[in-house]
Amino acid sequence: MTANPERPPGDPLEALDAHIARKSDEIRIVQQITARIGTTLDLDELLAISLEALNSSLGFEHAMILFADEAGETLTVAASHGYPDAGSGVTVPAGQGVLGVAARRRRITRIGNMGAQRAYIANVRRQMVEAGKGDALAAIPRLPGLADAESEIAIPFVVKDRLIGVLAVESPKPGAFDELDEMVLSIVANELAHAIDNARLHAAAVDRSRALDAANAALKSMNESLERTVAERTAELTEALATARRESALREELLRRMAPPAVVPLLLEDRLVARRLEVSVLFVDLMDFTAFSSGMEPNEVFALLNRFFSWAGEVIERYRGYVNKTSGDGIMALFGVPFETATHATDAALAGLALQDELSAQFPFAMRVGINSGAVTAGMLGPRNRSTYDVLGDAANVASRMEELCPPGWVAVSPETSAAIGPYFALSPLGEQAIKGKGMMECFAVARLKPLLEDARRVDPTSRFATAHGGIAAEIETAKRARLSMIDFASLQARDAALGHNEAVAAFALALLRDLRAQGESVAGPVAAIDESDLVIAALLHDSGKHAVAAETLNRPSLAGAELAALRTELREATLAVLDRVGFASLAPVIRELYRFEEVRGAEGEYGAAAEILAAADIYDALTAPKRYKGQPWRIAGALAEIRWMPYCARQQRPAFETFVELMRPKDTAIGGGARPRVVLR
Amino acid sequence: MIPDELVRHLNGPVLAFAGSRDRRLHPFATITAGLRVDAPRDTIEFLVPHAEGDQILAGYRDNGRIALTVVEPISHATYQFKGRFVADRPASEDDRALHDIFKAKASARLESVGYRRDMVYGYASWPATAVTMRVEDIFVQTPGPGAGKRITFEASP
Amino acid sequence: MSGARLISTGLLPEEITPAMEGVIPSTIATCSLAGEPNVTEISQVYYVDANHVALSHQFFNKTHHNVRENPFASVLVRDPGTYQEWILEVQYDHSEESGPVFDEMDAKIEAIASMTGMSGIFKLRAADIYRVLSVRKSRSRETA
Repeated sequence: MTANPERPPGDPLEALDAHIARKSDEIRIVQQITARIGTTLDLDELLAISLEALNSSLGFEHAMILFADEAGETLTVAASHGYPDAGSGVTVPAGQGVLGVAARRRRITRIGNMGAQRAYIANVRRQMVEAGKGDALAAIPRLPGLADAESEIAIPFVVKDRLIGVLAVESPKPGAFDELDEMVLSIVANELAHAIDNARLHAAAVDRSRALDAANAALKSMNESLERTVAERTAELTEALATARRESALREELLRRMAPPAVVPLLLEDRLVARRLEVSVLFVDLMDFTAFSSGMEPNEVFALLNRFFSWAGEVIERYRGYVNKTSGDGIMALFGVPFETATHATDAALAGLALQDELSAQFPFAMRVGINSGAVTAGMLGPRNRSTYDVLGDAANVASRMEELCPPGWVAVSPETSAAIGPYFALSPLGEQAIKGKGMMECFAVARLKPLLEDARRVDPTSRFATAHGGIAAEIETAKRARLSMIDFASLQARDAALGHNEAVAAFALALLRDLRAQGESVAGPVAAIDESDLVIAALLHDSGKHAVAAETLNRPSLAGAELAALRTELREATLAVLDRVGFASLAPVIRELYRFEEVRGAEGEYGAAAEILAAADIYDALTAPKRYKGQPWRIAGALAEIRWMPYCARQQRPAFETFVELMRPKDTAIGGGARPRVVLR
Repeated sequence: MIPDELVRHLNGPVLAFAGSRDRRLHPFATITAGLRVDAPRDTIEFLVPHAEGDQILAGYRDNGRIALTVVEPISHATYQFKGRFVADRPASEDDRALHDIFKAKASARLESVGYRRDMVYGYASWPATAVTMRVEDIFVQTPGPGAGKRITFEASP
Repeated sequence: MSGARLISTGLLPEEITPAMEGVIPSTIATCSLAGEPNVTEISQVYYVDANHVALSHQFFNKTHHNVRENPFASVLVRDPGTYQEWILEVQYDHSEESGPVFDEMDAKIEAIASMTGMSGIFKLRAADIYRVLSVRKSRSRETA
């Protein structure tokens, strides 16, 4: 054993300088090598160029390339550099030795202490033989490579989900390779794998055209077109190579985008510390993608997957999620990072539903989605230079398990997530499921957002609203689709977990308007002029400015005083801007009135009947909402009592509020008490 | 009486690590340099270097429990001796000779497989305190299926 | 190990990583609940992140038993280049039978075991994860 000569000098700054210098050097060299790999479609030449470049440019003296057989069970040395015996044709069973294990497991394997470890395990073997247990042992295999190798990196070549071979680099020095070597070699190996695959396709094409050539030798007239076929095929493959290189550049670009935008400033200043967060973790996995993509060209597979990832990423980001990794055809996304949010569970559930809803219009395959909520530690994870924002913790494992047990086309959630989203979503039981480390857990599939009439926290089934206005929710949906299809209410509501809020306010307001009209002239008169459709649109859009307000502000638990006033103003102005943009500027006065009513709690001045109707509906739905920042939601009777006896209503008679209490109260429950106020509407 | 086979092991080219613990049951270990076996009396005297010896010695004097693990570094043949503290004293000139021979043997063995000389000689193992332990249990700790086996021996009266 | 490294202000310095490549065996001291210290040589202490290390658990042994009743342990690791010895105070946290840390340790062990005909016999049962409480250079080395 000898000292490692690569060790940087003691001064940390010098070490850092040296490290950075080495990194930029190696990246430059890797670019040169990958450029050279791309220059040939001849397999033997390709291998020779690659091994020579690894040696001369990067100093990897001992390297070999092995090809896997069709079944991936046997590896055969195809080319080597730096060995006394070229070794071509020597075979290794998958699973044997560092390169065999790398191939079998399809993962990069790097070891720097083979001598010590081998001696250690050999000693155990000797102990077993001495103890008479030698019969159970396999023979010691003869593997190609250096007899005295201390360090080795083996990188599997995987193309189209298929193992095609392994690149192995060895050294007689212990600890000869570090993470940077691993990164550099994995880039080269990835390029090489695709180049090998392309070279093989090219060879097959050339073989095919040669056969054609022979068969058609007599038909000289065919020669020209044959040559053209070969030329076209070569052009296609050259194009495929170019595509692969462009995609490689794209991947590098994506690598640079390694953390949520919000933490990038912290990263730049090196101030990002790992922290404990309550988050929701969402896993997506495509079903049968391997079967689906078999027979496709590599660039087609990449293009399809990249299109899928981009689409899914956009849906996830719409609900404030962060895609922290893709693996094969799967995605892992985080909600509630890098800073904790009150809405991570509902955001994740909405994103899951949106993904499933929109998938079929985009892609011809099915998908499973799993979600779990819980505590994780989040921070920058990974080897030097390649770390990405990631999380550690059991919560991710449980989410992955949810994805595994999810029926295709559904969104499966753990008990933790289902408890958080239960108030908003209709859930179907998936039964007790075994979860590693947790035992049996009751899991659910998310069916849909709860329809208003099923939402027991908003509507009592015995109330007049439920029994007399059952069809209103459907009317609202129709109005929404017909006139406001440009607004994505789900993502708007996801911002502060006010799910279904706009639709509920619209339904309550419309039912209230109709009940007021059914009363005597003194009540019905003042509301006669209100246009039902305008009222519904105003209700649906009353807080549409939320999209422009930071979610952190919307969800801050203890907003009061000047801050609250500022938020209200910001929200109102943004909402008015939305009204203007979508062609409903005429509703601005009623929205302004609604905001004023809610700000001063209806205490000062006169309000139009439409604003009062909207205020009753909006305040009720806000009081019963299980938003985290409000603490426990009000039960229906409590919310109605609050509305019935709110100071501004107790002092001045306001039939809109009285009638609203009657509309929503459970049939056999009296709200508040005392005499029914005289019905006078100003 | 400590069996002959183990006496040979203890006198061979070995590295030895002494373990102790404090009142909170926090354990610690340090390398030792020099072993002297008194087989008939079931005692081993070993030299605890002062460099990392304070905690070890304080633990011995406080609770008397000693673990001494002796490793033949190439074959990994390993035995652990458990026992109780009997006495300690400052290491003498005689102990210095024991110490020098111990290091010379261990270094020769390690250099034969490529370690540099400073692997062994880089240890600050002098000055030291000689600790006497009474062996109560011996365990095989060579990695493999026999690890953990207790060696039966007739304890001396 | 390359699988995971937190960029937080962790306890383990960059400088210690060579000592966790398993070139020179490490030493671990544990203590049973009854107060009996135990010292064992181990082939490798794995770097998990700047605050955690992992030990491979292949055979049931006293170390494994002790830390499950008294989690405190002391570990000596050695740099194969400088021979610097480091002393870590650690606390057993939990055991993993899957996941990235386990997979990486398992692949390394399997790679070597397969070379010596020990596939399936010498295999990783679990990765025991320890939290690092303190780390310092050992005074046992003359100078580093």
